[in-house]
Amino acid sequence: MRYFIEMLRGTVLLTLVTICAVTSIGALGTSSPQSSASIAGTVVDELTSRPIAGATVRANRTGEPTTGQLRERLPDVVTGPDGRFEFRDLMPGGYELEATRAGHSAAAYGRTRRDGDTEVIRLADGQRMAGVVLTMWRLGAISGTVLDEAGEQVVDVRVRAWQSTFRNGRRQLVGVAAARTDDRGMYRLIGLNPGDYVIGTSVGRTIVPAADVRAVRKLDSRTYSTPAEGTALLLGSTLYPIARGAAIPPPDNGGRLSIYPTSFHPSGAAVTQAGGVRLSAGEDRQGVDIQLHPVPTVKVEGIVTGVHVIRTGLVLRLEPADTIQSGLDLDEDVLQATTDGAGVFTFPAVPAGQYFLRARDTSRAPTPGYVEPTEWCSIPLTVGDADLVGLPVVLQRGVHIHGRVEFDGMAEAPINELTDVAIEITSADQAPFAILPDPPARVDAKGQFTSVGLPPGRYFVRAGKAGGKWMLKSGTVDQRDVADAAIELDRKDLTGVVITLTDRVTTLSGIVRTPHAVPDGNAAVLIFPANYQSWSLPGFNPHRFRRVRTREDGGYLVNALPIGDYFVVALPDDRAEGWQDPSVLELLARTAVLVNIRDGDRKTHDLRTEERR
Amino acid sequence: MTHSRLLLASALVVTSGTFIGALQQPTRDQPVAGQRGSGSISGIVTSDEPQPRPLRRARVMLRGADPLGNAVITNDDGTFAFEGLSAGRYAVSAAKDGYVTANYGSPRQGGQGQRIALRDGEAGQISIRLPRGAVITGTIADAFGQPAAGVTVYALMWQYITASGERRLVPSGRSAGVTDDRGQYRIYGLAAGEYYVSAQDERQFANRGLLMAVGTQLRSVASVPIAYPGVPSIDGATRIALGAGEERTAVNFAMQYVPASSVSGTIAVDADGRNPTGVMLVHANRLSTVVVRSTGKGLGPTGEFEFGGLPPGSYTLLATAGTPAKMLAMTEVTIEGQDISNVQLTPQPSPRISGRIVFEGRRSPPRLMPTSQDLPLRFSLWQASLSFSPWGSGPSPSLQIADDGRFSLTEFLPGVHVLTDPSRGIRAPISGWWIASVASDGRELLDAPFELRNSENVIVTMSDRASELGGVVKEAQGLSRPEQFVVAFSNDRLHWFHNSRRVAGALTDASGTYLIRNLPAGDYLVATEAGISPGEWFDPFLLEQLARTAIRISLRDFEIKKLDLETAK
Repeated sequence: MRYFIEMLRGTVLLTLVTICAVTSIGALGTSSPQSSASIAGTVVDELTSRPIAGATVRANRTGEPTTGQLRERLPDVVTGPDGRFEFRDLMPGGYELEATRAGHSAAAYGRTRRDGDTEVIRLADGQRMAGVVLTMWRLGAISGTVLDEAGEQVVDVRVRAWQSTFRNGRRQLVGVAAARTDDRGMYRLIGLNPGDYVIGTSVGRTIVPAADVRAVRKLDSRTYSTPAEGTALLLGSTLYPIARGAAIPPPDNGGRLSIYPTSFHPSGAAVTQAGGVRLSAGEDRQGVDIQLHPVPTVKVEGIVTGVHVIRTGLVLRLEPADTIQSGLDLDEDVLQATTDGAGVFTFPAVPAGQYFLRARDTSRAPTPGYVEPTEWCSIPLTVGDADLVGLPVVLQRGVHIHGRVEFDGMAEAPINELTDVAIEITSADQAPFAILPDPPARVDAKGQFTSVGLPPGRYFVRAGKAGGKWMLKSGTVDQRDVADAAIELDRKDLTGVVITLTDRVTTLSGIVRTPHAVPDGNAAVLIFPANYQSWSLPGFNPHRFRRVRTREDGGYLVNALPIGDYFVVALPDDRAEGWQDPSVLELLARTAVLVNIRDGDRKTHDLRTEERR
Repeated sequence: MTHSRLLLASALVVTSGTFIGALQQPTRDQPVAGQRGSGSISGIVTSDEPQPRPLRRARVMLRGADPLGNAVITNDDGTFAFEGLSAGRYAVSAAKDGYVTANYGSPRQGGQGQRIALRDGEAGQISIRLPRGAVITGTIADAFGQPAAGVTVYALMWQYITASGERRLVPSGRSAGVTDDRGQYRIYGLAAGEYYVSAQDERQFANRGLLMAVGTQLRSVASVPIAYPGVPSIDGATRIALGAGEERTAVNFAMQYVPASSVSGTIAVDADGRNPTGVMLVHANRLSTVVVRSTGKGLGPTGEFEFGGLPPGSYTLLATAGTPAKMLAMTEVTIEGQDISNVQLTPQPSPRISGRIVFEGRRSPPRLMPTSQDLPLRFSLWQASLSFSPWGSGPSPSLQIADDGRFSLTEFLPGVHVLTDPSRGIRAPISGWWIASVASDGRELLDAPFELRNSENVIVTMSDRASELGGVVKEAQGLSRPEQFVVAFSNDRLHWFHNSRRVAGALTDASGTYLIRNLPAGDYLVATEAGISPGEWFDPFLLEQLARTAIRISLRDFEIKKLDLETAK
């Protein structure tokens, strides 16, 4: 304990040295005297419409450089018992307003639903804007107890909530909250939006060769001290860390460990067996218990070779196949091991199952994360009840996509703008190989581009920059579409991709009215492909999914829609959550208007807000 | 304006979570040292109760010569075993979440343990008892009486910080983090003892001020740490005494906003021509929170500075220059709800200190003078609030030593100083020579914190002789006691300061023998104690305890004194 305090003290001093950030002279509550504009309003609870006291409201001036001296920051304002806030002595300009309070979702000016868009307040000189209402939504909670196989409560184990969402054409389970159990084994996950959740424990750990730890420790062993707080089990030549947040496994049996894998409510290590929890708005769900069972493990050991000499410290991830297929984002909760100087890696305790052993060598990155040539591996691995040793892991060189940008338009090709074109290369696979998302390819002055090295798989190639003076007309290779239909990349580079841009930018606009024929300034216009096969991968193109808010006069405008058939529908903006889910699209399609967009079309379609329950 | 709160508790999380986090460069494995012998240490971990229960899934940590250490997990019957150990000394400790970690052989809770001396082939048997951790739980309300979610709550305990020689409130125990959406918190795994409970809303320490809309007014306020039962300072806080495993519920209190003020002033150009480039503000509120803010490059054209949003309390303002920042001037201000303006920070010229090193002894002086690295004449400003500043205890003056033994000390702030490093020269010789005295115009500087003024006559006396106090520590049964601390300390409480040369501790070796050298002539108290940490003997509270049972002795110059000691009980 004493020893520990010393460590702690050292950390504090170290921390202190690093915090002397450069800042400006404060401008607390004062501003230049000639600016007398103000913003005042109230923070309210969406459910009860009651004012919320103790919310912190922050106003940021838009368009201000974030660097440079004396950047003026306005002080935060805490709402009083009446929920009121006010910002005084403001310069004219644009302001964003956000209010936060624990237990509620952040409110912002213009936001009409939990994760809705925000708007900027335009303040004229001397303008006094009053009556601004910032709406907060009460968030929900999920709580329960974690017990082990003997019925003992598991203390200080990390529990995570993954929310089921439909993103980029894939169903995914995205980690949104985490908590730790207390001495009664109880956890409480808070700040949850309504939705479907999977609740599970966390086991994140990285396996490091023991020799490295020994080397570092030697430096610090001049005086004897009590063993450190952290614990690692020495299994052969590797250390199996028992980090804070992981359940303590049973004692090892002759170097063979049984461990608690990531386990989901109510019980079990397979995400396919997880019992989903559907949380309504502001709900306090209790009794979401998790039962842990230890599972036997084996050792998985191998050696990495590749085009380059493998350095030490290459991180290998052992990703369970079922989590990949279910779109569960384990992120740090995946088994990881690092290579030693000889390229050898060891996972000392792996439960039986189907895995992918994946690595992507980004060690020679000129910019963080990227490197040419990229080397990768993704090896399907079946782990049974016997050790796997001497596993050869050969890193492959990534393949490249080469192509050029052409211009098909009324005006002359904007040569000097070509280099601004970002070529988006996105995976069409359900389980993309993406430790890092691939960066867009840059176009050179001759209109040529080359991607980074990519692992095999199916890819789309598109121009990223939409809107403005030009838009993507097509992406092809040998007359074959690669913008809406993914192309399979194997071991060979793909050449001859042609990205065609046009300045005949399509538009779709109109007026949205309520069922009472009044212009609806509070509607969301949703546009999505008429072909249901484009609602999910491998046919999903994000440029074909649009959501826009109507202006105050009920008008809406969308530009640069790729040519094709679309469904268009208007909804009250606060009902447009989760609309990209195919099951929701199917409902929306029943009442939507079908619109055909052809090359250069500038179409107008007036809409009526749908009253949906 | 940058404004950072440094929380001991967040450091706690970092240190406990980064067991092997710093390792990025693996190399091929070596045979495991300490694992090839035929000895073993086995035993049982139980709860510390009248009817002890075996504890399953407890972690038992072993540390011997192998810096790696080793750990095992207890079986369902609480038993564990480390096999294949070579002869040597092993420290063992055991932990289980929800219980208080114990070091084997420690005479007191949380104290340093006793190592097990294992002979070749020997089978050691031990048992370790873990007290059930106590719990403090309750609900935090915000300033409006609503549940305060997301607030960090600490159980604070007084601790002596050996690095700086001060007692501070240090967070203890574990919790799930911040208060939940109902404002509830639960801190568990607490050792029996006395605690203060504090809460703070770390989200409201943003880099800006805070206003509160009260009616039609906007008031400048600050969110401050609050201690149970609802006071913004440790004064007036209620101490909670917890027995082992006790659960204290309904430790409820409310957060507050306090009126905030500003401090402004100007900083003058240094007489030495050094150009001040910034002002730092340090505020230690004794609830384990330290605020450091910096104007950085934000000084006005004629050296103006301003800090806003400051709660009542005392603040240290430091004028700094350059990168890394050097301290040029310092002043203290106390805020009691009013704005303070026109603070003048005037850099003082550094005292000019010079002198010479003289050697007194039976041997001839060394041919080469010690270098400034060899001779650690390191001084620090004697000011507790600065010990959390980026300089630790203030900047150390730089020392230049010429070949003829003349030296000069430069670059330090006027003020009260103290020698910071007694390990070399005082407690251990430098190439056979001991620091016997550092005197300025006849005044000894080593026996009390001193104020340095301009002086050209500072004499550092090095001697090849030193007093020796040594002996054997035995148990009542006559067995010698290894790894027992012996503390010798001046009978005069004025000498009880951090790093004092008249307070020393030593550990007994395998034969139970201790040796403390170079105590100056004087009256001393000598006591023996297990379970303390190096440096802890500078803690006046500990010395006060030890004084009750200590043996009183007198030492003459260079006297060699034998003093055998017996452990209590």
